[in-house]
Amino acid sequence: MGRYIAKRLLWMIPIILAVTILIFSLMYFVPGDYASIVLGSNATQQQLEEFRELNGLNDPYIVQLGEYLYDVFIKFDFGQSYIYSTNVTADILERAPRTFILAFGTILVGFLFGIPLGIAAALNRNSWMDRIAMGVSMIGTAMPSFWAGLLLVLLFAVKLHWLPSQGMGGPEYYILPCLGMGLAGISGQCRQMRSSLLEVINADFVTTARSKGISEKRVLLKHELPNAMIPIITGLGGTFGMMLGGTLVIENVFSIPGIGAYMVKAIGNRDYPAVQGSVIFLAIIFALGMLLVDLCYAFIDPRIKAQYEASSKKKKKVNADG
Amino acid sequence: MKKLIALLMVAVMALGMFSACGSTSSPAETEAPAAAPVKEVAADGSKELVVGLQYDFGDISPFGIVSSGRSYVTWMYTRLAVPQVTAGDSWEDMYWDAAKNITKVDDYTYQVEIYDCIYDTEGNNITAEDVAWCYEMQLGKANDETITNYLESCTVLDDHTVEFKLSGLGLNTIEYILYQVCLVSKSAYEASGNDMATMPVSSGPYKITSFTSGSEIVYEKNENYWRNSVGNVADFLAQNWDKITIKCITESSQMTIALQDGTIDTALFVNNADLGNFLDENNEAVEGYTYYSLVNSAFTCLLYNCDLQSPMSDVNLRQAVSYAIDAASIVKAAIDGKGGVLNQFSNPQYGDYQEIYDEMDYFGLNLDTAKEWLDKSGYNGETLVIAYETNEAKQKMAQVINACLTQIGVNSEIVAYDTALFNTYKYDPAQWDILIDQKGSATGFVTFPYQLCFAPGAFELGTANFIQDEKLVELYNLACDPTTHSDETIQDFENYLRENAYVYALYYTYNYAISNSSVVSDMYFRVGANYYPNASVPAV
Repeated sequence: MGRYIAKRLLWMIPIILAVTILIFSLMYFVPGDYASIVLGSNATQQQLEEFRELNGLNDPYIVQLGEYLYDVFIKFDFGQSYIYSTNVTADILERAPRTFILAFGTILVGFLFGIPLGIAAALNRNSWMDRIAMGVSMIGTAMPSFWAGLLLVLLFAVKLHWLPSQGMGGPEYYILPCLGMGLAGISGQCRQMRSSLLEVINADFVTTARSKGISEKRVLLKHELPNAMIPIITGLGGTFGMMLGGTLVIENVFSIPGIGAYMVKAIGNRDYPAVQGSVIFLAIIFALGMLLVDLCYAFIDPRIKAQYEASSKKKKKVNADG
Repeated sequence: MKKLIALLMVAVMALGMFSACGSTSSPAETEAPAAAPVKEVAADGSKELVVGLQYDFGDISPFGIVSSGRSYVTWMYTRLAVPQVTAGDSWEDMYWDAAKNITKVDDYTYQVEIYDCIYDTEGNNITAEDVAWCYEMQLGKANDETITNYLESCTVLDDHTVEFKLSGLGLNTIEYILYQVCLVSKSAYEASGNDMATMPVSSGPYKITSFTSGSEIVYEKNENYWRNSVGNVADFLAQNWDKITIKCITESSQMTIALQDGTIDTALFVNNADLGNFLDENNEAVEGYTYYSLVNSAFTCLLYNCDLQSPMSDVNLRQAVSYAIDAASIVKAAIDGKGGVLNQFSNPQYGDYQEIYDEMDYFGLNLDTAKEWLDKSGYNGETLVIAYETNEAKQKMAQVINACLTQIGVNSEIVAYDTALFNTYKYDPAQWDILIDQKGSATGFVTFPYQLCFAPGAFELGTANFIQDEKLVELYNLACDPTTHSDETIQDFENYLRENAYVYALYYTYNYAISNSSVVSDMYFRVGANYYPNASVPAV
């Protein structure tokens, strides 16, 4: 298992390198330049040209790329934000916890509401409960998160005064954004759980378990749910990545200064170091998230753990034989 | 049963869809606006103001990039002198803040003596050496084109006197230079480790005690404010509040909600569509709120592409387009009537605004005249590209222009660009025929927008809209040279722009700032546009 983790971590290096080159190239070749943003609509062409020269923006692509790769991989420095004049690494580290709280909170909302709803739908297939669950799921999928968020604000902040409408502070500030964003997650988890459970319910090992006289509750908890959860766990890594990306909109709506809001501002202003730093950081987090999910398999599904162990033993045996 | 559930689901989805498509008419037309929340007085009697700002703060360091947000949050820095009546004040009319005495040696040289008692919140004395260093830093950053273009040097004469050398003459240039640069202590700046990008050490009436990038800034009163010992403290340097918080709320509906639920006490910008929550049908503030309307110093205009490749290089077509455009409808559609139609390439706020044009016809909507011009032109049905920077008002504006042109048989298409792309493509004659643009004046004179559009030598292809015209250059020089600048030369230039229909000035806008009247009784905007939360008057 240790070798597997090390191997996966090493694989991240070329992946991050590729992401770095890709995002740098995209930002370099996309039309629109930083000089015009800094000097604004009041700048003449002559002033723009002078500014570009002064800031090295006229250097060839390969020179700029080389310098950037050196800074990122040798000095571990994403550079300085053009817009805020602050260190991008510090900015990202300051903002990342807020985005993570949002992403985890959203996933939690999806799990807490979506999975019980999916189980209820599967266990009561074709009943009114199933239809309600699927109806809720359809609405959740169709409703944009920012709009759901604003409706929640109107109800819980403006009408009931239970929760703050926007901004940053204690945990209560994250409830509405997580609910707004989590609505789509509830729908996704509910549908996924329903279909997984329906597949497992008819599996041979479940029939065998029932034939042994095990109670329905035990069949569900010990045999059906662990197996039905595997596709949900598989999707978790991707969901987490999507959530990190999805915070772009909700952070702006709720004025939460996370990585999403930072990226939106940076993209609009061609703040290259900020955009590149944010994308690379998210790529690293995404890769780590996927690794974590892969490792979780082993604990949930004994077959996968056995595979790791068998492969490890086989290699040891080959080495011992000579 | 299945049909019933299906119908129910359709009904729910339809309800959801329609509730999202709310009317843009003001809520005041349908229901009474909600009452303003009444803020409780702090137990210790301290006064706290919370302001909602529609922009991200951007760079708050002393020599940072000029941005929309920055100007609202950097008032805690001391400047040499500050305009206080209009943006076009002469330096003698300005409020001398750090400057104790300003002497004009010649047109290009000014000597400024500063007070010897200027201390920042960490106790550092700001001397002439610091002032000169600040100006050199700003010059080195090259991020303010007026300073880059006109300031040659700032040198130390003695402990408390510096000398400014200008490299060129421009209207209101020295005034701009005296105001624009923030003064800080060199040692405090270097000790900050990050160019004071997050926790500046300032010497103004307030100090920043907490900064969260993209979220909020907290200011607290500077108990040892140096200016209090000098006396003659200007209104905008008042210390009316113990604590001021500025929150960044970029989503316009959230700004309205924050004001309604008491999260903020003042909203610096309320969307026209939401004004009905705070103003009645007579434009008076509803109970619980107070408002301040101000003319935005920028104005919106059309630039016509005069490059020979563009159909708009034909003066007859430019005239036809100008006579076909209904500026009044644009003001109504784009900004809900919260502004005024212009008759000249200027803004009523500018010091050299020519009132004579208010009584004269500009192009005006006249379809018959437009068609006559069109007949004279060589227009052959080409599609004109109307380009604008992504923005709701400009989108509506482009749609109205598109409809106006259709009425006279001119084809057009609308293209929107994000800010960076817009600022790049606007210098490319192949990208547009009609450009919807916005111009402002850093100096408070109309010569500034002239310079932005027509300055000779500043553009590869003549002017910002690719005009090659020697007479225009001659008239421009007369209007913009401080020695020949007068009403006559301005009018000559303006008349020439009209005759050739090179540009079309459309409208200026009003902005509305709204406050909770249980907290704020009056808002303070210096020279009509610069907001100073510290000088807003607390409600009794």
